[in-house]
Amino acid sequence: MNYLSLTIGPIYETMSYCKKTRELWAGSYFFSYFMKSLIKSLYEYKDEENSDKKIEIIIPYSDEKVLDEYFEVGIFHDRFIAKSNIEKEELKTILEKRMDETIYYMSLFIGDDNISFDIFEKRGEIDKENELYQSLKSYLQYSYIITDEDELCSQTKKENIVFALDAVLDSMELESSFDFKNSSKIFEIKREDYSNPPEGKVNPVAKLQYQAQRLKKEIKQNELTFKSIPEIALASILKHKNDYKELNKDDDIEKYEAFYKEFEKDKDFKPHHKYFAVISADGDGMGSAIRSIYSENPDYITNFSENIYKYISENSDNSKSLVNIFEEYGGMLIYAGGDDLLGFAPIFGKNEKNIFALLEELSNKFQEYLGKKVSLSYGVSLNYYKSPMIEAIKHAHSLLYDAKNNNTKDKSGSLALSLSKHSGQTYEGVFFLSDDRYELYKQLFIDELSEVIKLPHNLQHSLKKYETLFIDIFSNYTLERSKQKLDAIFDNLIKDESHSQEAKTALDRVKEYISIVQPEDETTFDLLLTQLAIIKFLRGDR
Amino acid sequence: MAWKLIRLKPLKPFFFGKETNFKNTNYAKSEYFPQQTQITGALRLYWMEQNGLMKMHKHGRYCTSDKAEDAKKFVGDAGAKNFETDDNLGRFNFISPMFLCKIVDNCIKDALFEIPNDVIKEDCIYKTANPKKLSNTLSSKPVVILENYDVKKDFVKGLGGLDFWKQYSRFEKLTCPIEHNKIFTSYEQVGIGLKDGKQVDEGKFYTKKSYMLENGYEFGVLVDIDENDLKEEKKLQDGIITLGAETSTFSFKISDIPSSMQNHPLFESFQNQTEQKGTKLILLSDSMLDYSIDENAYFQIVPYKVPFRMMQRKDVNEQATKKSEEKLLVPKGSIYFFDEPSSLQKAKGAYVKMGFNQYLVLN
Repeated sequence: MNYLSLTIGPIYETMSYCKKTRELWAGSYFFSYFMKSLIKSLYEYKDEENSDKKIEIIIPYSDEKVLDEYFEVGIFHDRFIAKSNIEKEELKTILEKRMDETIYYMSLFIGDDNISFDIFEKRGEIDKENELYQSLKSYLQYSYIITDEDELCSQTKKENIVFALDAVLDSMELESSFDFKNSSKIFEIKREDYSNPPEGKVNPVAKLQYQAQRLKKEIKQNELTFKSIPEIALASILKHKNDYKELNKDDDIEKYEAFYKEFEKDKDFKPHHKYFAVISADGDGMGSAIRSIYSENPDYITNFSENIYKYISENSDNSKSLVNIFEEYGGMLIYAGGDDLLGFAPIFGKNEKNIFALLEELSNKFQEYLGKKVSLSYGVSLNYYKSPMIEAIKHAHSLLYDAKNNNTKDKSGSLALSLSKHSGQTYEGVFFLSDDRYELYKQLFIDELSEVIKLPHNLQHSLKKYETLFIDIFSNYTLERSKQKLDAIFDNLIKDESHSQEAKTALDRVKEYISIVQPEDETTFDLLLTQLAIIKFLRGDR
Repeated sequence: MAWKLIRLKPLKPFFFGKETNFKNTNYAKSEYFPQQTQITGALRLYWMEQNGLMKMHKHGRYCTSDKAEDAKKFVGDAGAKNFETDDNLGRFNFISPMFLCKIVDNCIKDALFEIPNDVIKEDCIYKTANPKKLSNTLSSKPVVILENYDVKKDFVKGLGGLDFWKQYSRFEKLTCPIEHNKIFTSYEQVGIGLKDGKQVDEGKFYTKKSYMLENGYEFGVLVDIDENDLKEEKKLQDGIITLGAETSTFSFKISDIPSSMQNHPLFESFQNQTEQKGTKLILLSDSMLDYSIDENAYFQIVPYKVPFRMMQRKDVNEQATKKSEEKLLVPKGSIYFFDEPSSLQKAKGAYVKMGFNQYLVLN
């Protein structure tokens, strides 16, 4: 049995051109649809002389229904794994032919607005001299490997074929190839096609990114809406479509300032409405899950893939799809491939929900479909509405890396949260989602921004003033004694002049939080202050 | 001809720009190092100014026609429009990529360069990830796995000095690289945009991220210049130079290369401009390639491409507003592996003197 695996890109480079959420969606949808078309062409492969010859897709989950369906977001990952009883050389020929065909028909679709996705049903000779085809082929980066399971596992010293193929493709992805003969930038975007078009020419994928509405119609998702950043940030108080009708017409970043000036007059407007969250999530324990599946029965990997597919897309009375989870919250899912996802969300969403509740809903759904031994970790960057999108996404991915580094062998499911101020300064905090520390912080965050409690304005100055006392308590005393000393500090030194109940409750909560964090050195104490700074800044303090 | 070392100490936060400009975004972040064309332009301008060859104009500084011949002798007349075909940079024979100098008691103790893209950390040890060819596999090119590379941990980024590069050249265990944020301190500013460069444009706020260097660090550039027949006062002198955007100013000091740095592997590489061949080539500067080198390389680590354009002006009395055609460069730090000793394509025209397509050769 031979195995075939392929990876495609450049995903990050494609995202870096984006300035609007719909461009991000369209860019990731391109790669997902491309992968789906290629997989479908391999899935449907039939040898006219020998009907036993087959190509079976293992990852992602693929059956006739999945491959015929149109999804609201890109759900096909940037790589696939298949197995086949076809000989390696023949498999290579089939793959390269199908790849060229997919590139060719995709290039025709991009080049001519009158061509629909039906073009992918075609098979036959392609024109390799076609400029559109050459342009798209020049832009795309892809690598593949065809191999035998035992050979590859032995040479890579990996315990199963999935790990071995992944390791090889990870290496092959480092090889950016350059086609110096053919330029990928052949499309000019005109002002009549798109407001504020880029200067100069763009590559085919970038052209498609400016045609999100066309793509939406093509995938028969006319109800799909592309929310602008202010629409997302203001989700909890945007009640009527008319509120942002003007913004939908022309959602360039220059218009956001004027839009916000109007909304600031709303009685429910809060400083945090000027911030939005970028959520980057990835599964924990997936390697172990695959390992145990392989040791039990390698054929079960297809069931695992199917469960991932259901986690992403199943929409029923008991379970919402990821798209709907984001939509109902007031956010927007950009893509969900495998155990990765990228989405935009408000800090407080519709129906009085908050960002933490959104993360919990995603985590619960993940475990519901894939089991309790796996979890999701998150990088969440909170950004000012004018922040460049690509920087916000980059930051969220970097935070995900911090969250993954927080995980241990025995404990996973971390959140790395960061606020980037308008000036560029950032505040960060990392938590285990199962910890009491996270629960306390979460409640402090929600209650402060909902104005149930009120942290004193001078809180950080007060805490910083007694930094050495706090450090001394937690590094030199028992837990019980340190709690008594902590009480004494708060009773006598950390005060609020307002004497309001909200302030008193807030200080009690801060004290409780400090008793759990137990800052016994400068670094931990500074982290504590940073975490409190996130909350105070979002409520409007400067 | 003589090799000299130039030290550039930032006098205020500096900003080295790239393709992105404020027109398309309200956020701009400086690069750690300038492009070769920026360094070259700054040095040429500096030398001409020192010799009184420049005049001020509303669109900037320019050389008058009566001084043009003198200027040509100093810095050549190759321009952004014809760098590919005209290599005349006057007395500049070579300008290296910029690096960092570690300064102790006003002396250079080390020269730091950004490390290549194959350094990994495994069990607290820094080493290179090595490519291993796989047999009985098929693809459109040789199938290679980079041993010990973990995509989730990625490669180590940072800067390496003399010890690092010596160890790297000998395929030994590596000294811990220095992280960028230990040397570069970011400095954010919020500014307000101007209409037509003059009036405040209400609401047009932008964020600019510049850098400063920590105490004890300066920038460095190696130059090969021909000053043999020049009087002392005409030679490159210490002074103040502008390099980069937003009037980033630096103190400029020129001296011989200190003996302690003479055997720095990268200094040796810059000073040896003959064609070098090896089975592992590490790019020390962004490189312009006309062909896809991976036709010969069995593996390469080229994680991204660098878009590159320059501002051009029709003549000296006009502001530079036209951008040259975009090129894609292979970024420094990229690595190529060959079965047989191979070399890298030389850059064309003046680009080779500007320090493009520089590489370290290992076998």
